Amino acid sequence: MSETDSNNDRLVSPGNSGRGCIALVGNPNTGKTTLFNRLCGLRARTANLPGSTIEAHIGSWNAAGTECQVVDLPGIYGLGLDRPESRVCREYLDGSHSRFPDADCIIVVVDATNLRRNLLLVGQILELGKPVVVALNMIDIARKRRLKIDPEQLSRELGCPVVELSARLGEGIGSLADAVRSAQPTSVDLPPSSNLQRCEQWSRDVADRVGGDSASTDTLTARLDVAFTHPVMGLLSFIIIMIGIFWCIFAFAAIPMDLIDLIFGMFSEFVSGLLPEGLVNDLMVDGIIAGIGGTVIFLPQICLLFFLITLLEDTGYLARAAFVLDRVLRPFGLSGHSFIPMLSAHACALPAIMSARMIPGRLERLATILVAPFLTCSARIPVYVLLVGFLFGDDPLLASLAFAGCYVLGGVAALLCSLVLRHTMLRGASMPMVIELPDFRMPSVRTAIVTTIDRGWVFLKNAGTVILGISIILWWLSAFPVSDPPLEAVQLRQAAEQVSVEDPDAAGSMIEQADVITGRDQVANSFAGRIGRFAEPVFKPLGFDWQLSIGVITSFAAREVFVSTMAILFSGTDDPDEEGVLQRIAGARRSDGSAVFTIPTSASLLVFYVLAMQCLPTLAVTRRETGSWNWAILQLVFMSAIAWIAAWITYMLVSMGGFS
Amino acid sequence: MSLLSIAQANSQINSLSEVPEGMTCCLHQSDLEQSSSELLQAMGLVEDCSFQVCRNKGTCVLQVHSTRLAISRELASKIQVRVVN
Repeated sequence: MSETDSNNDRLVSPGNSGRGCIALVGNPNTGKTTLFNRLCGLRARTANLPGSTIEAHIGSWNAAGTECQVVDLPGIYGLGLDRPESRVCREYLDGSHSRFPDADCIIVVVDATNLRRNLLLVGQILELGKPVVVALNMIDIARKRRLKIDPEQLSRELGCPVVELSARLGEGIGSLADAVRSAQPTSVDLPPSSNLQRCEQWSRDVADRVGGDSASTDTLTARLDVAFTHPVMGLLSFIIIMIGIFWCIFAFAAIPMDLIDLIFGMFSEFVSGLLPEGLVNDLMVDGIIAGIGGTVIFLPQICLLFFLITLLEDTGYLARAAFVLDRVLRPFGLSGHSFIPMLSAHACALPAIMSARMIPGRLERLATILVAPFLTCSARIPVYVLLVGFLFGDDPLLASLAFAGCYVLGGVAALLCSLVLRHTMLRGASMPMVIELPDFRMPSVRTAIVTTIDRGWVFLKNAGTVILGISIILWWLSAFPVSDPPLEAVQLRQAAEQVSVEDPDAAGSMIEQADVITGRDQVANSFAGRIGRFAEPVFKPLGFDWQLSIGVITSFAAREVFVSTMAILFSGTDDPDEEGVLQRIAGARRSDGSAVFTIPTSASLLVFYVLAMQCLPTLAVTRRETGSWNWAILQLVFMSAIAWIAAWITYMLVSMGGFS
Repeated sequence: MSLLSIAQANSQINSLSEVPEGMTCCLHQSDLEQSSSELLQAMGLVEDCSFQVCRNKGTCVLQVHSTRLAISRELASKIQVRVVN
C-alpha cells in the first residue's frame, strides 16, 4: 500500500495534522476500557508498553470508514506520581520510545460525576502540548444525579473539544470522531502541574463554573458499602460471592465441555477412518487430536472465570474485596493490592504475575509473584478432575470436598510461603493500602464478552502452539524407536490365527491382548520410556513409576499436558473405540502388571500437582517481571521441594493407612 | 486505639484513625512518605479539603467530595485532621 493510500485509511490524515494514533488516558474507573472496547471491539491486541512490562491494549478504530490506532493506557491519578503505571504513561506520552506509535492525539476520559478531581489529570495532559479531546464519560449517570455540566463552557475553559458520552450505552461515539479531527494543542493558560495547590484551585474553579462541582454521591453505594466494607460482613460476603463464582464455573461449563469432548471424539474417529493406518494416522489421532483435545476441553471454564471476574470488576465490587482482604493478607506480608493478582491466578498464573506490576511496594510485589503459582489455576483443573475422579469417583460429596481441599491447600501454601519470604529475604515494611472505591454500577456485558474472547483466544493460541508442539514431540518420543513386538504378543497372534475360524471371539480377544502387550512394550522401549526410567528414581518415593515420571517431566512445560501425556502414553494399551480416555488412563498398568493409579499414588500425585511449579511459561514471566533469573530459579526450587516433600508425606500416610 | 467521643473530636486536631464515623473533617497535615502523600493529593485529599469519615473500624473509608477512598489504619494514624462537625 502506498503512503497516500495508507493515509486515506486514517481517521485524520497525517498530512493534515499527523493524527494516526490516539492514546486513551484517564483516572482509574472512568470507563476508559469500556470506551476502548466500544471503539475497537475485537480489533485489539494486548502488548507491553516500551521499557516496561505494563500492558496496554492497542486496537484499531474504524470511525465512519476511516481508520486509526488506539492505545488504551493504564488508569492513573497523575502523570508525575512515583508509581509504575504513571511512569510508563509519562514515558509513552513523552515519545521516549521507538516500538510503539507516538500519540498524535490524546483522549482524556473523564468521569462526569467526579469532574473536579478528574480535571487535575486533564490539566497535566493539556500541559504536554498535544491535541487533546476530553471525553466526558458516564454522562448518563451524571444526568440521573441531576448534574448539569455545560460542555461548551468546559471546552472554552480547557481550550480543547469536549464530548459528552456514555461508553457503556454507546452514546456520543460519533461526536468523538469529529472532535478528534478538530483537536489542536490548547492555547489556554494553565497552572503549572508542579504547583498542586494552584492546580487544585483551578480544577475547583473550572468545575464550579461549568456546573460539575456539586458533590455527587451515590446513596446505593453508601448503603451497600455498609455491608461490603464491614470487617466481618465484608469478609462473609466475599466468601459467598467467590463460592458463587466457582459454582457457576463448574455448573455452567459442564455442557459446553461435554460438547467439545464429543466434537473432538467425532473428529478423531473421522480422521482415523480417513487416513490409512500408519504413522500419520497415529500422529494425528494419538498425538495432535488427543493432546489438543485434552486441553481445549477446559476453554469453557477459563472463559466463564474471566467473564465473571470482568463483570464483578465492572460493578465496582473488586475494590471492596481488595480493601476487606487487606486485613487478612497483611499478617502474611501481602496487602489488598495482592488480591487482584491472586484472584487472577485462579484462571492462570501468567496474567496474575503480570498484574502484580500494579502493586506499589517492591517487596509485596515480589512476594505476590513468587507465591501466586501456588493458587489453583485452570491448567491444574484437568489434573484434579482426573485424580479426584480416581480417588473418589463413586462419592460426589467426597470428590467435591477433595476438589475444594486442593484450592485450600494451594491458598494456605501461598500464604505460608509469603510469610516465610517476608520474614527472610523479603524483609521490610508493607506499603499502606490506599484505594478508590468506585460507585456501584451495572456492569457492561459487552466489555465482559470482549475481554473473555481476548483471554480465550490467548488460551487457544497457547493450545495451538505450545501444547501442539509438546503433543507432537511427545508422540514422537513414545512412538520411536519402533521396537519389534515381544514374543508373548507374537505367540498370541499365532494362536489367534489358529482359532480364528472355529472361535472368532476368542481370536479377537487374543489380538486385543497382543495389541495391549505390543503397545506397552513400544512405550517402554521408546525414547519417552527411557527418559521416564532415567527420572524414575527421583519420583519413586512418591509412588510414581516411569510412566508417571514421563507425565511429570512433560507437564513441566504446562500442567495440563499431564492429562494429554497420559492419554497419549496409554492410547496404545487398549482399544480406544471401546473405552473413553479416562477409563484407559485409570486402567493403566505398570511394568509388573500392577495398577499405575493406586490410591496412595493418586493422592500423592494430586498433592504434588497442587504445589509444584509445573509451568515453564510462568518461570519465564517471573524472570521477565522480576528482571532476574534468580527469582525464577528460587521459585522453581522452593515450590518443587515443597511439592515433593508434601507428596512424599501424603504417599507415606495413605500407604500406612492401609489404602492400596 | 479507641475512637474519640464527638465532643473530644470537635475540640482539637486529631489523628484521622481516632475520628468517629459520620464526622466531617478537614485535612490539617500528614506525616506520610512522599509517594503516599502525592497519591492521596492526586486522589483529591489535599490540604484543607473537607471530607466525611464513613467507616473507621479496622480500615478507614472517606467520602472526599465525589470520591470514596479506602485507606489503611496505619496510614490514617499518620494523617492529622480538624473535625468540622
